[in-house]
Amino acid sequence: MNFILECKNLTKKYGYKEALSGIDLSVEKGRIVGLLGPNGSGKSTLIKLCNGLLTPTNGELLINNMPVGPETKKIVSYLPERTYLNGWMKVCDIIDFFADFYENFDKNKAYEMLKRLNINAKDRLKTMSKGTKEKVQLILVMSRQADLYLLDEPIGGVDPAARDYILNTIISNYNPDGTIIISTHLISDIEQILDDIIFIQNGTIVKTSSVDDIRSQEGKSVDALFREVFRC
Amino acid sequence: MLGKLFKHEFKATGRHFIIIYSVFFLITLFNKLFLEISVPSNRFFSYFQNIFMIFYVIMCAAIFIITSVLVVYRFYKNLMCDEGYLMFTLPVTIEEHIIVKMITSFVWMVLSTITFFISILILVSGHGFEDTLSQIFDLIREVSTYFQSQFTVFVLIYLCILIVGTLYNILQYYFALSIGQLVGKHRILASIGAYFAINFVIQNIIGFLFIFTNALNLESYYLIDESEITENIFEYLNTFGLIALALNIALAVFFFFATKIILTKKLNLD
Repeated sequence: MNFILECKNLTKKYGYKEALSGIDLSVEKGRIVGLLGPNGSGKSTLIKLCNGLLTPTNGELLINNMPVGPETKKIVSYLPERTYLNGWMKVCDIIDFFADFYENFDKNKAYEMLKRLNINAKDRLKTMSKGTKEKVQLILVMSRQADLYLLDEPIGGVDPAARDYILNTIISNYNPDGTIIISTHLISDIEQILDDIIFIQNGTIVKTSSVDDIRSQEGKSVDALFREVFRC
Repeated sequence: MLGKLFKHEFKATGRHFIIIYSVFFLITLFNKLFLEISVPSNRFFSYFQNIFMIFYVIMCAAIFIITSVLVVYRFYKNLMCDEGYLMFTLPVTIEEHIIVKMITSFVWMVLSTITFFISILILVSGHGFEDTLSQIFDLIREVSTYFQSQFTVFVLIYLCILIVGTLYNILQYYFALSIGQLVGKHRILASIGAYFAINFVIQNIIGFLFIFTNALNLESYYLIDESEITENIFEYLNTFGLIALALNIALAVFFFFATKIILTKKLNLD
């Protein structure tokens, strides 16, 4: 089987605190995967390991059969939970920036999406609201023809109406051969677009399954199962 | 990729420096104007002349301080804060990030120095300054014909020290910042503390090295007579310069790789 992401005994410690404890995980190509878990379960840590912002303490992590490095960063498109855009650039500047560094960035697609969202490419990022900045960031991330999209809390900070639009953008704009991993705890909002789920808690994988299996075998929605598994 | 990194680095930093250099030149020209117009025995006028001169002197110091502050700020803001989420996920290596930032900073430091000297030249031009300058050049020519190759080597070594020393300074900032970011909160304070701690440690190490290896061979100075020292002044200076250069290179290399390792293994974006 050809996996886009493989973890073998992947461990990450912050000092003495273990954020991920020996995770074994493989994600197939072309899937939309929900990385679901309560706050502090290790979702962001796993994503940061995948894009090279963190280095594993132990174990192995392969993206498309390669260890994390400049080569994997070319094919990974990452949306962090915070805005990383600086204030002084205009939207068109940051688009040029992305086009310069990522060969798989599609400028036309970015401008098309900006237009549809009524964002002026000549506006400075400083003048934008937090929500608009998040939209710009999502446009930048989804305008890449990446093999792996890592979306960390993509809908956390926006209103429900914009949420629908963002989910729509995600499913209609991504590279069909690519894989999307979405981390969130707003499960009911994204349930309808997921193929697979990974439940994570206290740094260990609790359950991996396809959404179809959950519905047919357990007779529940992902949201209901989540509430059951992570009951406080 | 390196070329693109340089392009964006100069774009991001240049917007500050263009303003700084422009303001500095404006103040210089203003001062020059005030100096050239002589209104004798006008207390009001000379009062303003003095004010502008004081302002100019402050600006001269400020241009170097601001340059250093911007070098530090750029590294901190671009790599250790939110922007780091973008920069460290670009398909470039951490070495490339450090090299590009280091060389860009170096260029700005050199340009700030050049700006400073041009400004001084503008201010003192005329008033027989050209004669003084040619006298200085004559002196240099005389010294270089007397000491010949020793003098050339001397110039080369100290030019290298100037270049490596500047890079060393920049890398010390980067090293201190990467230590500072290891601390969760109060990163800036921790970085400043780290900077002075590094200074302290290095000074002590160098001090001990010199004492134990007797690198300068200080006793020998007492044994030879003065004329011999004058004869061999550049030989002494060159030996000392080479030791300093070697130390600078060694420490700069250490700072570079220490920064690289910390940012690879222990990156701590909040």
